[in-house]
Amino acid sequence: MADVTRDVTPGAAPRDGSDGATTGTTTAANREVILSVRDVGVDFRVNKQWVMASSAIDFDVRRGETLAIVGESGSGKSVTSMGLIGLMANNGRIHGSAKLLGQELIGTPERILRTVRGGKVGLIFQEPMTALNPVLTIGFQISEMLLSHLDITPAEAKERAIELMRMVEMPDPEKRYDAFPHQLSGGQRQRIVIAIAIACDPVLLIADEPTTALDVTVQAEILDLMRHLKDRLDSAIILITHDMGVVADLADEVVVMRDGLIVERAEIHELYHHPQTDYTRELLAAVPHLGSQIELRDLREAEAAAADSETGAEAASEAGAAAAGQVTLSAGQPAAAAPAEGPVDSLVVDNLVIEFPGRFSQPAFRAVDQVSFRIGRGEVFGLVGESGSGKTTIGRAVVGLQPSTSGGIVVGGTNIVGMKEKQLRPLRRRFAIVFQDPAASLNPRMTIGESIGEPILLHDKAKRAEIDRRVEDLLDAVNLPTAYRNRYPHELSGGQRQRVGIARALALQPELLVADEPTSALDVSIQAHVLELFQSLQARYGFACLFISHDLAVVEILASRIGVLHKGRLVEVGPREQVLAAPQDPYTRRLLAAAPVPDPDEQARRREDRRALLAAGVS
Amino acid sequence: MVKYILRRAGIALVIVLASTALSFFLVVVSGDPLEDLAQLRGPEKASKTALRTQVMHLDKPVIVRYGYWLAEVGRCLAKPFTGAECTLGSDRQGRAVLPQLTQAMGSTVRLVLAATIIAMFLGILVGLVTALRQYSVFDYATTFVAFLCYSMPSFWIATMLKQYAAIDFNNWLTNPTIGWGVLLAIALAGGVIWMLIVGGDRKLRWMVFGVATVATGLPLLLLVRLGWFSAPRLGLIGVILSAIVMAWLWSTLLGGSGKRAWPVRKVCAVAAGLGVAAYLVLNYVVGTFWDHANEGIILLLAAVAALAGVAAGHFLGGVQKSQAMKAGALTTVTTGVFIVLDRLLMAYPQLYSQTRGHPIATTGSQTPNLPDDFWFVSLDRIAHLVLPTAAIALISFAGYTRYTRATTLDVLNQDFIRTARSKGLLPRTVVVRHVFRNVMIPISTLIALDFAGVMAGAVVTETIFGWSGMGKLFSTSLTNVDPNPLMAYMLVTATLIVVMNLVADIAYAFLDPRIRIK
Amino acid sequence: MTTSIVTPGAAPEPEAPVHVTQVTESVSEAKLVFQRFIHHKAAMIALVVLLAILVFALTSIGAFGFHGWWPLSYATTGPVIDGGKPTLHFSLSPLSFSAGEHPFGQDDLGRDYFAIVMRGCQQSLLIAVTMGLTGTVVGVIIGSIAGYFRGWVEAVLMRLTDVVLTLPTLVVAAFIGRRIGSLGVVPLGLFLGLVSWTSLARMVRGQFLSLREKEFVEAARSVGAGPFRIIFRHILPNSVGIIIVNATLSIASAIILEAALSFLGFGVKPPDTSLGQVIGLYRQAMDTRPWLFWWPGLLIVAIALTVNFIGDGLRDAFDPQQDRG
Repeated sequence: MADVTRDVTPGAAPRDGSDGATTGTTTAANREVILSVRDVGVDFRVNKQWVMASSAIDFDVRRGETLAIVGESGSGKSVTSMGLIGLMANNGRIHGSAKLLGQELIGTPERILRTVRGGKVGLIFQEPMTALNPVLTIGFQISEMLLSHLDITPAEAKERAIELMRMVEMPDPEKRYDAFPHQLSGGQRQRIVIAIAIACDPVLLIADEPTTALDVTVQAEILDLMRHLKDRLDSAIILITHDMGVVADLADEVVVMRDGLIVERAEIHELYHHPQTDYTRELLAAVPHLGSQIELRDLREAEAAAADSETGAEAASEAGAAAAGQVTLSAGQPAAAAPAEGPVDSLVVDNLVIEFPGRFSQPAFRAVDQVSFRIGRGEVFGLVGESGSGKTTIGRAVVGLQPSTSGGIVVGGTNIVGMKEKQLRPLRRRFAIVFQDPAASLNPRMTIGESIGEPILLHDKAKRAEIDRRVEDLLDAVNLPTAYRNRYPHELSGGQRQRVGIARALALQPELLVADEPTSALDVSIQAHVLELFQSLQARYGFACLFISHDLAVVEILASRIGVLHKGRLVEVGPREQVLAAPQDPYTRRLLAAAPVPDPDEQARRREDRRALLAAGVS
Repeated sequence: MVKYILRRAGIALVIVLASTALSFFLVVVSGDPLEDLAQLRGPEKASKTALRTQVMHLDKPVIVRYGYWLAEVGRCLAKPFTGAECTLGSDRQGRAVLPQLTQAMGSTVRLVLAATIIAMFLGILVGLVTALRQYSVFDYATTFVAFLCYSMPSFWIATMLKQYAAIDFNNWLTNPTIGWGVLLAIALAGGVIWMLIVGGDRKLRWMVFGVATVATGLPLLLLVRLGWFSAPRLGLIGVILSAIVMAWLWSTLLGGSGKRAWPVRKVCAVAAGLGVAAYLVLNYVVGTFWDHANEGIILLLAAVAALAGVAAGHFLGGVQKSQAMKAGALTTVTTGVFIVLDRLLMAYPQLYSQTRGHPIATTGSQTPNLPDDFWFVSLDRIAHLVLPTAAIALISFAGYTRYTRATTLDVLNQDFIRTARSKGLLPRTVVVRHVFRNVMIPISTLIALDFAGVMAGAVVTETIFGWSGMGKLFSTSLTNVDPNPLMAYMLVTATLIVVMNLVADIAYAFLDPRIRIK
Repeated sequence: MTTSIVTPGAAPEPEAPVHVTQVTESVSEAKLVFQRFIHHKAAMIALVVLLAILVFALTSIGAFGFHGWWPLSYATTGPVIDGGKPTLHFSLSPLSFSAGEHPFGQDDLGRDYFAIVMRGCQQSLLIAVTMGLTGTVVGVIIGSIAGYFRGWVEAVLMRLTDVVLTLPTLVVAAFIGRRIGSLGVVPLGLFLGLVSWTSLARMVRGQFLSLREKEFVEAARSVGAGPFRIIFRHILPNSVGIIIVNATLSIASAIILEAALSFLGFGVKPPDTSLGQVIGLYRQAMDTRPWLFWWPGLLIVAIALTVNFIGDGLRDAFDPQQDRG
């Protein structure tokens, strides 16, 4: 049965999003087709057999339009798009037809494809940290692109490169021209990658997970940039991503891929409001949606609400202090809702400072600066921050993996800061940690049973039979078949491995569980299942949890209290409702404003809010 | 950067010191200086023993003996300032060590440097090409050859070279003819090798095969027929040809493609012309000056050539100035190499007669009693260097090839190469500009490690080829339990290795901006 | 208008690609490595050849007190027949092969060269394996300590390694060999191993540095595993691949080192023999009696080559590169 495209009805209502630059996007169907893909498929030769990576791919991309190709890992979205311009591995082949402004791409000789690459099609890749050649200056890498396609002198190329750097909002372009990639941050590097991609005014931009590796606030900026550039250059964008929030922010049309095939295709509002296939529905349901648990308010309202609330006075002084750039909250301040019950909190962090000594006469780096918060028994506390905020450092310090410089970490009544390993050891059964990367968190040479049983072996010194029994119980608890006991990590999928990690953490029934971004490395649908599991386990075992994440939406689902970290400082702490609906701290507000929401209409509104927020200079 | 270098130099000094201490310990452990006296009988034994004990301080503890040796070294280091006598101790027969050392060092250092440079150059080149042509026949063949070289002891290679490359080759040179079968085989082999290197689609491959076969076979035939091997010369034609080839090579690698390359090609052509002009001037206008050149003058001329190339690039390079300057300098300097080569070959007939028909030498590092003609002596030295250098270089080459191949494959998998390809750059540009520089960074660490192996190889090779170099110094002294020459050898070896390490460190810092700029 | 999931195409034709399905069978990583190794053609051929050499060397003249099937001994002198030329004959047409009494010839004292070479082979292999294994053990210990404990311990050990690296292995071996050479093959191998640990130490240290940051090691630490458990249960088992590969390659270089050493006269001393020593003795005879040089040399090259290929095969088996088309 053939797949039928849902036509976008001409004259459809203009999308809100009021960028002010909606030149001609209203009559989408009348726009010129830039890329026309028909029956394209990609195969790979593995072990002397051709294996399908994607097949029967059809879509059109129009000028001024963003087409999002959504799928999880293994859906074939990347290899197909890369294959269109011939950037495939040696053991791949592509067939079908892809016409770029009428010119057939598939099967054309390499030297013609070379003129297309960069000249007509610009590419933006995922990992900004490694996408640039470390030994060449960034300015040269832009000029190189210009010189190889345009007939200009090196001096002219340099001028245009600086202009491009200005276009991508790179500060101080003249000086930065001679900088090397390692001197820039991730967000800045991605801007340079974008500059390279748009250098020759391409008609089509292919962006492969362009913001996945970036922090949320940076991501919002880059997405803004991409939108402005698209309008300015009047080009088309193919956006490949797994993040529905990003799709809602940027895309006009969406194609959903699964296991190499297109399962649904629709205009963005239709997709979100009326998904046709189960898979799409699952995908949309699985994405943590900011505002799913509590009612988010318009951020400008939120500010007002915060000022009015009964903690207003305190909040105002907090806000004042925040404006001065320094907020410290001591343990037991009233704004943070008192923990449920029990005289002894599971975790009290008191003025914690963690410094890393500098190398070769460089000053020490303060990763954690006077952070204090509490977690009550059985409570889930979400610690939110971007990269470099110190959240992982705190997590590791709490489980005794990272020595602290000063301050206190009190677990179940005992302060573990400064303790010798010998003293700490018996206390270790009280806490446990689940790591982010399921692939690296299990010893490849140990069976699952051995990994889960290790804590039991070390602390309870149980006999083999008892360990096996307990391991099987734990496997049950995390919904894994007990037969997996004898399997090795490489035989399990990512989601399964993460469950094993959780089982291991629960082996000794700890009072406190630290979860360091446990779902960030997983596919969206798997993420939902693991979070569900987490919730049920927490309800069943009643452990307190320090849930570390960069994703506010995920934290919203699980946590009852939230703390926000910014550059080592805890800038805001409080009950979930307060932090998310009435944030006091400007950084928190920025964070909230930047988090994309997988609903195009709402996201458009949020974009407006964010723009207003930034314009008001509250940053 | 300067701080980095100074710090490394300081550490290097300490390491050399510690190394000498360790060496001294090993020397003492390795044998008893009095053991040959154990055979003697009677009063002679006692008196000799007493004398030797006194001279070599054998009655004192090891530390003190080490101290004495260090004092000797200190005296030599201070010589420029104090002008004192300096011998680095004396050997068993009471002769000063330092003069023996300086004499031995000359030939060994030449050997070791030549071997390292050749192995590095060829190894990196081949490694790059095999990585780019991964899984091709060329790749497999080279891998096998590399394994083979890696698995052969240096004395085996040296002995085989001595037999076939020297003795048999010398015999062939007395009557250089070539059978049709052999000629055809060599021509076809050349064709196949070039075809595998260049790769490409079917049509291109057959074309390359054809051209390369003819290009290998025909000149070879001509050369043999014209009796070139009896009196080899490049001559004006040879130099012009090499200049053209060099100009083409560098402008292709560095210039880019199509119209854009034109300024660079122009500059290289001019540079080639300059080279030919230089040839004519040196040989026909200032002939006697050229006849009396020496190493210093050649280096100076090389610098002048580089400057000329750079100037040509600067003034004529137009829009491609920086590329043109590089390509121009490379063209002039490499053409210069051919000019020097030609002049060296002019001394060949003389060499041939002097060595009685054995130009490729198998013994010693130079022929004794040669007239004081720089070119003649140099050619002679080179002729003596050929085989030992080849023996050592072949083994190092294997290591460089494998390592470069692995590193290049690593770099090719990096994201920024994908970015470069997505820019639509020529494959050639991607390799030369993006791949090559990133490959060189880790290779510099290999250079340091490999050098120790080269020094070891020198010991064996010098024994086989009868050189009176440091290897022989080491062997003899170790056999005779003679500490002072042994320590001198260890000192120089350790210093050379540490210096190479330092050079590699500096190169690494220079190549990698992440180290250069914080 | 409706959209629906595209159903997979008709039954695949022979050339059509297949869908990949998730196969879950319990295969331990060791088994995977083993399977990959078996499929490495060069390594398997090398393994067979090496085993053949080994069997030949051991059984022909006997070892460890057992008698071999070769009638002649490597020690008995005798009259030199026909200038000591080898009596091995092999021709393709007519297809004939005869070993004769002295297939490898005789040395200048009339001893059978085949027996000498086989004996030399045994000794060389014994030294090489001893040296390789000793060096590996020492290297692993030093590398582990340096890599795990960091701090000043690591600094000291690494500087020590740097110092040892300034001395070429052959040179250090020569010092040792001169003193120990006469004590016998196994002591020589042991002591040589004690000075050839540098590359392995560096490698193991590197492994430790990268593995200790891995989450599974941190997980073990967070549970309270002590240094011993972490080193022996977590880090080392995951370094086995690298260690085995390097041990194999170091055996190969040990063979070559021993050959060079004995050739120079600082290795195995008479009456013991080894392949290198034999070549060294008869080095000058290359012109007149080439067989004295060729046979032992070929064996050295063959052993080193096969061990190197096996090492390469192991490396590919433990760390496979991208699958080729």
